[in-house]
Amino acid sequence: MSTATRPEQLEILRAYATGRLGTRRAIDALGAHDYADLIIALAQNNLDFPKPAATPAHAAHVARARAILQPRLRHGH
Amino acid sequence: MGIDVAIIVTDVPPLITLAAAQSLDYLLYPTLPVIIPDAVFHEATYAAGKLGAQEILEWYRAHTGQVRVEPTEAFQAEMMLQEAMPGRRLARDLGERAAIEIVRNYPLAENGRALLLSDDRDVERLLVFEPEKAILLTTWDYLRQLEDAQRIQSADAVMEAVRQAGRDSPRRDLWSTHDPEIRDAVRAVIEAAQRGHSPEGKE
Repeated sequence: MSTATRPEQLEILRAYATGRLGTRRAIDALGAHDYADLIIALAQNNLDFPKPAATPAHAAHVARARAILQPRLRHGH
Repeated sequence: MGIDVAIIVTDVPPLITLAAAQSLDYLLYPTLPVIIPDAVFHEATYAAGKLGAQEILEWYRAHTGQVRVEPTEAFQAEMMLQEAMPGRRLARDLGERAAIEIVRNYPLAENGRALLLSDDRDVERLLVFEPEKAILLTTWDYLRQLEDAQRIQSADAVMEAVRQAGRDSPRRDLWSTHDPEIRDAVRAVIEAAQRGHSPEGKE
């Protein structure tokens, strides 16, 4: 990516930051090299990282992960 | 005997995000095996000066007992193509294909579970093979689990550290060249993984 962010690139970054565009597609659309470029572009344009969408399927995955992780993180097993 | 639970890092963003925040050790907190497909490790580390690359390489070297770079046929085939056609770019979906191979072949116990750490929204494709065994988690979700268990102060603070690293990062033209030392180190890690164990987990 070039140093300055063009308006169309900024729009892509905003779409990524608001969860409207996936990581791989954002990298491709920007003409960026990889995810490191994407982080740098987001940070240098003061944009947030996207948060996962709150869907029932996502909540189910998090609940299953929680059941595994919390005992290990709190008690080591 | 299979593994009960493992964390499989199925794409590059979680590694780079945590490395940028100097927080890769967070992956070790649940004391579970951490599996990184060779293609994902290569993509995250191959370029000198790339955000997080050096940290990931050093972190892996310091924790080879818990962190494993798993070889895949997808990556080996891609490397052979590269040798035959120097200068050819790696396939865009290589990391995903390698991750699918690991998810399909990793020796989980009958009731085992794999926590797939990924920030790619298309990663649902990984669930086709073992939907009951695979649990998808983004880096943000993982950090929130650490926060809930009071192992870190704040997931937001980690993401702010990543933002700060991005702001301070050098421009691409300063860090796009490959450092031979890094390149050789990455190659050595992957070759050791290929020699040391197969995707089926045989030592």
